[in-house]
Amino acid sequence: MMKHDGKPQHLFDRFMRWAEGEDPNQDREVAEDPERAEFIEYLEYIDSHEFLDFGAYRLMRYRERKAKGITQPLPHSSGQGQSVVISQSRIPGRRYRPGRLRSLIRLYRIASIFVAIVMMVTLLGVVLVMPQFGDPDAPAVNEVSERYLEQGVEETGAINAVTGMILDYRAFDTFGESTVLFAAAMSVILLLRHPGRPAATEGSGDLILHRMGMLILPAVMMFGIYVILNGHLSPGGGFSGGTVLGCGLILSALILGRSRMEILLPSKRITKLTVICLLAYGVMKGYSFFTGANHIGWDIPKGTPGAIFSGGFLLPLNICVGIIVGCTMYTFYTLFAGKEE
Amino acid sequence: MNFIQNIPFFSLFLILLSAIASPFLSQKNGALRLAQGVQLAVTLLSGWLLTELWQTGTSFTYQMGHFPAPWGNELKAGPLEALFAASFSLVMLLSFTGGTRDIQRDIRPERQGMFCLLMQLLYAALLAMVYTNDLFTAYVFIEIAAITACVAVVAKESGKSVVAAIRYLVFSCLGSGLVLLGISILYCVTGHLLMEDLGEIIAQLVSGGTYMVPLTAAALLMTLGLSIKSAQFPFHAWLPDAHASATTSASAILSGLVLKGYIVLLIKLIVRVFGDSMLISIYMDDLLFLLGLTGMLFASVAALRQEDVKRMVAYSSSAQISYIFLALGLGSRAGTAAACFQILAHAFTKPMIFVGAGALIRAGRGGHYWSDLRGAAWRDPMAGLAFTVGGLSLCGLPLLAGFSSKYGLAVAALAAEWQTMPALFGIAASSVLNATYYIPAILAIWGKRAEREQLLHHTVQDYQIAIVCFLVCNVILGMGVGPLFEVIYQGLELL
Repeated sequence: MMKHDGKPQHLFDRFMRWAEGEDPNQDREVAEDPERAEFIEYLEYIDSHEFLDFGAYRLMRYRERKAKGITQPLPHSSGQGQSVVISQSRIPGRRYRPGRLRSLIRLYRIASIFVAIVMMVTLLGVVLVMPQFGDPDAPAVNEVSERYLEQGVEETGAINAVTGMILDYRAFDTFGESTVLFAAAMSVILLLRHPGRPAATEGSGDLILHRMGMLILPAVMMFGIYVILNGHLSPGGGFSGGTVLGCGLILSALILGRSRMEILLPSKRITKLTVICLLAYGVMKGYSFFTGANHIGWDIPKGTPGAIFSGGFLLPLNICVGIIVGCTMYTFYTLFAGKEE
Repeated sequence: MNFIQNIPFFSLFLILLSAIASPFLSQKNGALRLAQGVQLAVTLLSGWLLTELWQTGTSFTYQMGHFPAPWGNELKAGPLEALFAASFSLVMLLSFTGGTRDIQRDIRPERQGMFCLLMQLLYAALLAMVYTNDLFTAYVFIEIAAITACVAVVAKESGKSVVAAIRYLVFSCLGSGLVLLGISILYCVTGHLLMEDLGEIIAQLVSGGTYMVPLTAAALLMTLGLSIKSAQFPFHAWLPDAHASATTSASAILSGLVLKGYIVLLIKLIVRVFGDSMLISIYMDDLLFLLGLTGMLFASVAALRQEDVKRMVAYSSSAQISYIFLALGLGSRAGTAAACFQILAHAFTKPMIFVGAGALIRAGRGGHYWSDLRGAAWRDPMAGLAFTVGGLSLCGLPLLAGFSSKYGLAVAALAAEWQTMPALFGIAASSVLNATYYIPAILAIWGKRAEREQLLHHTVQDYQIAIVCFLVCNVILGMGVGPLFEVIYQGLELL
C-alpha cells in the first residue's frame, strides 16, 4: 500500500542506529528514497542549526552543490542516487555529536522504568485501600445512583438506564463528548485533507473479501441502525450503534473501493452530516437546558416507556450521536488510510 | 429566576453552536468574522454579569436541564468566575484581532475557517472550565482543549511545529490521563463528582481519618496532571517549541489563556474540593511552593539563553506560571488571591508581547532572531511599543500589571511563615532575571535606525487597535489594584 518499506519496527531500528551515531544507510545497497532521506537531513539540520523553511533549505543545498560543481537537479525532479550526494555535503562545524543520544536514551530507559514502577506501586497501593468492586456499602452506592436506577424510567422515559443517564440526566457531558469527537474529526480533516491528494485504496479486488463482505454488510448496517434506534429500550445507544455503523461504512469502503464510495458518500457530505447532527443535538439539548433551568415547563412528552417513540428527545438524540460517531470513524479511516505523499 | 443567570449557559452555547455551524459559511474570512463577533458578544455579556454579581455580592448555580445538581449537570458563577470569563473573552478577541494577518499568512486559505472553528471550541472549553461545578464536565472540556490546542500548534505546518505538536500531544495526554485517574479515585472514595458534595465528604473523611491514602493519591495525581498541562517547572519541556512555532494568535492564546484555564481549575480544586487544611496536612502547599520557586529561576535562566524572540517569550511564560504556583503554595487566602491576580496580569501581558513580536517579525521580513530584529521597532512603532510595555510590565515597572501582581504576591508572602524570605528572594531574583533578558531585547528592537528605514504603513491596522486595547487593559490592571483585589476576595469567598 505504501510506497516504501516503512514498517514502524524498521524505522525505529533505523532511528536507534542513527541515534547511536552509526550511519543507518550503511548496510543498504539500494538507495533510500531520496525525498525521505532529504527530509531526515533537513530535520537533523534544524535540530542542530536554526529553524529554516524547507524550501529555503533545499535552495541552500542546491546552491552548495552548484558551488561544488555537482550540478545535478533537485532531488524531487529526478529519482535516483541523490542521497549519496546529500549525505556527503554535511556542513562542517555542525553540532552533531555521535553517541550523545545513545547515553541519553539509556538514561531515558532507566528513568521511564523507574517512573513506571513508582506509579505502579502507588496505584496498586491505592487500589488495595479503596472499596471493593461491587461492595454494597461502597461510597459510590448513594442517593445519586439510587435515583438513576429507581426513578430513571419515570423521569426520563428510557428503559435503558444508561441512555437515560447520558442523554438526559447528564446530557451536557455527552454534548461535550460529542464535541470531542467532532473536534478530533475536524483536526484530522484540517491536517490530512489536501485538495490534490491522490485517491487512496481502491477496492482490494479480493474475491473472498468481496463476496463475504457483500453478505454481511447489510446485516452490519441493519444491526447498527437497530442498536441506535433501540438505544432507549435495550442495551446500546448512539455511541455503540454509531461504532457498528462506522465499521459498516469502513467495510463498504473496503468492498466498493474509494471511487464508488466517493459517489455514495462524498467527504463533503460526511462533514455536513456531522455538523448538522451536532447542531441538532445542541439545539435540542439547549432547548431542554434552558426550559429546565428557568422552570418554564414546555416539556417534551415522555410517551409510554417501552414504545419506540418515547422518552422525549432520547430517540433523535441517539440518532444524532450515532451519526456523529459513525461519520467520525469513517473520516478517520479514509484520511489515515490515504497514501503517504 | 433572573435573566442574567442565563449568561454562562448562553455564552457556552453561543460559542459552541456558532463554531459548529461555521463550516457552512462560504464567504472568505466568514469564520474569522463570526468568531470575533461571538467573542465580542460574550465579552460584553460576561462584563454585564460581572458588574451585577459584584454589586449584589452573590453567586448562583445554574441547573443544566430538568434535574437538580447531584443528578444533573450544573454551572456555577460568582464574581471571580465572571471576572475570569470576561477577561478571557477579551484576551481571546484581542489575540484574534492582533494575529489576523499572521493567520492569513501562515495558514492555507482553505484551512483558515477550520482553524477558527477549532479555536472557538478551545475558547468554549476554557469558559466551561471556568464555569463548571462538576469534575467530570471539567474533564470532558479538558479533552476538547487538549485536542484543539495541539491543532493550534500544528496548523502552521512547518517541520518544527509538527515536531512540537507531537511532543505537546504526548504531554497533554499524559496530563489528562493523570487528571482522569485522580477523578476516578475521588469518585470511588466519595461517590460524587459535584464539587460541593465532594468538598463536604472529603472534609468528613479527613476528620475521620479514613481513605487518606486514596485521597492523597488523588490530590497528587490531579495536581500533577494539571501542572503538566500548565507547563509548571519540571514539566515545561514541551512549552517553548509549541509556543514558538505556532502562528501569532495561537501563541498568544496558548500562552495567555490555555495554561491559565487549567490553573483556574486547580484553584477551584484547592479551594472547593480539597480545602486548605487537607492540602496542608499532606504538605501539598510546600510542594507547590518549592516547584514554583525553582521554576521561576530555572525558566528565567533558560530564557536568557534564547536567540529566537518567540522562544524567549515562551520561556518567560513558564517563569510567570511559576509565580502562580508559588502564590498557591503560600496556602493562604491572600496567596490564592495573588495567584488569581497574576493569572489576569499575565493573560493580558503575554498575548500583547506575542502580538507585538509577531508584528515585529513581520516588519523584519520574517526573521525570528535578534540579529534580524535590530531596529525593527522603528519600522512598526506600535508593535515595538507593545513589546516594550509588555517586557517592562513583566520586569515589574510600577503602574503596569506585572508590578501589581508582584506587589500582591509579596504582600501575601509577608503573612506566610517560613515561606516569607524564600518567596521575597525568589520574586526579587526573578525580576532581575526578567530584566536581564527583556531590557537587552527592548534595546535591540529600538536599536540604531538603518539608513532609509521606512514605516511599513501609514494607515491604522486592526492589530494596532488590538495593541492599544492591550495597553489600556495593562495600565488598568496596574492602577486598579484595590478594586480588582476586592472583586477577587469577594469571588474567592463565594467560590
